[in-house]
Amino acid sequence: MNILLIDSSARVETSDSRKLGERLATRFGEISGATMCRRDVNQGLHLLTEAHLEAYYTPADQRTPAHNELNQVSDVLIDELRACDRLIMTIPMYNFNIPTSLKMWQDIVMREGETFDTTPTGIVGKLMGKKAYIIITTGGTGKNSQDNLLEPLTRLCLSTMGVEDQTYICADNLAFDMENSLKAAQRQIDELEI
Amino acid sequence: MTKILHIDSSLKGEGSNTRKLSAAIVAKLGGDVTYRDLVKSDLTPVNEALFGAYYTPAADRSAEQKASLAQSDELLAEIFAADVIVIGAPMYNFSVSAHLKLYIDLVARVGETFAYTETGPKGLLEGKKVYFAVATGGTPIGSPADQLVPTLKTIFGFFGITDQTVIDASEGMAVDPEATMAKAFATIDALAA
Repeated sequence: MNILLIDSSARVETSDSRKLGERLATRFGEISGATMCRRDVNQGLHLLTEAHLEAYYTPADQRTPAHNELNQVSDVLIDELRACDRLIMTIPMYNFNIPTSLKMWQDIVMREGETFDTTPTGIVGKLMGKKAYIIITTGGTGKNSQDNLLEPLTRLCLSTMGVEDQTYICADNLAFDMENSLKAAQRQIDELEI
Repeated sequence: MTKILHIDSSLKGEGSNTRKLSAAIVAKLGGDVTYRDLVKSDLTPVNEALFGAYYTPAADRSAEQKASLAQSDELLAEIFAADVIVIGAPMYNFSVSAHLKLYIDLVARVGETFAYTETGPKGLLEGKKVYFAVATGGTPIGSPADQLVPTLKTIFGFFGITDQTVIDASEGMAVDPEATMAKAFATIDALAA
C-alpha cells in the first residue's frame, strides 16, 4: 500500500496540522508493506504562467521539449498522486481558505487528460479507487461555519480528479480551545478504520 | 476624483475575459487609477518568517522583518489609498487563481486590514467599495461549484468592505461566450459612474 502525505502549512516545527498528519501516517506506517511518499507543497512548486497553461493543454503527442520542461513539476506531482492508494492531506486554514501553497498544488495537478477528462456528459475523474484523509486545522473559524471555504473547495477538487472517498478530520477553533480540539482530532485519528 | 485600485489576476494576457471586464468597469467609473497586475508583480511567497513579521508589533520588528514586509506594505498602501477597488478574477479550479490567493494572504494582516477586538475580528477598510469582475468556463456563479465569489466576498467582507458588486461572465460561457460577455458588458454600461 502506497501512502502519500501532503503537507501545506507554512509553519514547520510548530504546525499542528503537520503533527496530526504525522500521527495518521504513523498508523499507516505500521501496516506491513506500506510505503510512504512525502510532499511539502511549500517547497519546489511554482505559480503558473500562460506558457504553463498552453503546455498543459497541448496533447502529449504534440508537445515540444519546451512544453515537457514546463510540465515537469506537474508530471512529478501527478505521478505521486497516481501511485498512491491512500492520500493524507494536512491543511491549515489561512483567511478562511486553503494556503496559497496548496492552491498552487491544485492548479498544477488539475490537468485535463491527466487527472480528469471532460466528456459530453461532464467531467470524469481519472484517479479512481483511492481514499483520502483530509486533516484541517483552524484558528477561529468553526468547521460548520459558512466561512469555512477550505472544505468545500477541497471536496470539489478531489472529486473532480475521481477521489470520491474523502474522510475529514477537523481540529477547529484552536485559538479558543486548543487542548480539547486537538484531543478530539487525535482521538478521531486513533479510531479511524484504516 | 475617485481613487481606483485596478487589480488583475488572470494568467492570460490580451485574451483574458476578466481583464476586459475589469478594464470596462474602470473606464465606466472613471477616476485616478492605480494598476496592479498580480501576474507581473513577482509576489512574495508567504512563509513562517513572514507570518512571524505580520504578528510582530511594528515597533518591535527587526530590519530583516521590515524588509520581508516591503511588498506587503506596498500592496496595503495601494488599498488604503483607494476609494474603489476593481478586481479581475478568473475561476481556476472552482476558486481564485493562486496569484490572487497569494495576494489575499499578503494583505490580510492584523492591525492593517483587520483587528481583533473584544467582540471579535473587525474589518479596518470600512467605507470602500469593491467590484469583482469574474469569468468562468461555464460554471455558473452562485452554483455549489462556485467557490470563487464566496472567497472574494468573505475576505473583503472580513476587511470591512461590505459594498460589493459582482459582474460575471459565467453561465453560457461554454456555449456562447460572445453573448455571455456582451451581457456582462451591458451590466457594466448600466453601472452608475
